[in-house]
Amino acid sequence: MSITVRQFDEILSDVIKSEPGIKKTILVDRTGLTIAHVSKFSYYPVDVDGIGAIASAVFCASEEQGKSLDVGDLTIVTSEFGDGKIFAAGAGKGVLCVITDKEVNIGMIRLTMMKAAAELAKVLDEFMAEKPAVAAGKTDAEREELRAALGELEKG
Amino acid sequence: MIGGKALKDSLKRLGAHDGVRGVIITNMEGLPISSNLNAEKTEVISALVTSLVGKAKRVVDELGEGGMNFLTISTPAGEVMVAPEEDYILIVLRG
Repeated sequence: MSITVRQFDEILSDVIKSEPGIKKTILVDRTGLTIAHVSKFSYYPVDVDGIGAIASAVFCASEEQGKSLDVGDLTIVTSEFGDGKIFAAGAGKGVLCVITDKEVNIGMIRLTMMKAAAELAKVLDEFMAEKPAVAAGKTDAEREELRAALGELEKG
Repeated sequence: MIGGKALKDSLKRLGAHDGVRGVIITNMEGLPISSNLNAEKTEVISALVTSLVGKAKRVVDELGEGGMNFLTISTPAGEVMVAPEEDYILIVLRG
């Protein structure tokens, strides 16, 4: 079955609907590229890509700290600000980032994020394991041609 | 602010009652402060009950009942008793 970005959106929508204080959810890969994002309201213009990239960087940096200290796997990084909170959780090959208001049930956010992160990790694995459409669509003749060309190159 | 020893004493005292399966003290953000259950169960119960308390408080406010003092959930396994205070919530599982 082909994985679409819509599946990520569905999981992110479930996260955003789970608690009243959640404003944005972003899924990024470990290099900081945005895969999907869902927002509840547009309070003000936000650079989602930038926020996601920083969240990924912060998460990966904390993960490195943990490795250096040998304190096990990192689950969630929480950044608390005067007027809001940012949570980042590992989701397999990605990082799930949740932006909330100041007053939220941190326990519920943690539970929801851990559940969603497990689902996202599974979908991401399938998504990344999928062959690109171009390669998958090659005919036998085209494959033979490619093999022959590779053989020529090896000889050369 | 309630001290660590006082918390432990409260847990011990409540846990010693007949039929008590667990006692949890959590803050208003759903983060457990003290418990005599395992960590995983404590985290789940604290988060869910705190969320429920928030919703129940909104209902009580809407109804103009003047505040919520206590919440009891009756289940086939027994009872979940919830006592919300200003900064903490005490949860007792009994049955």
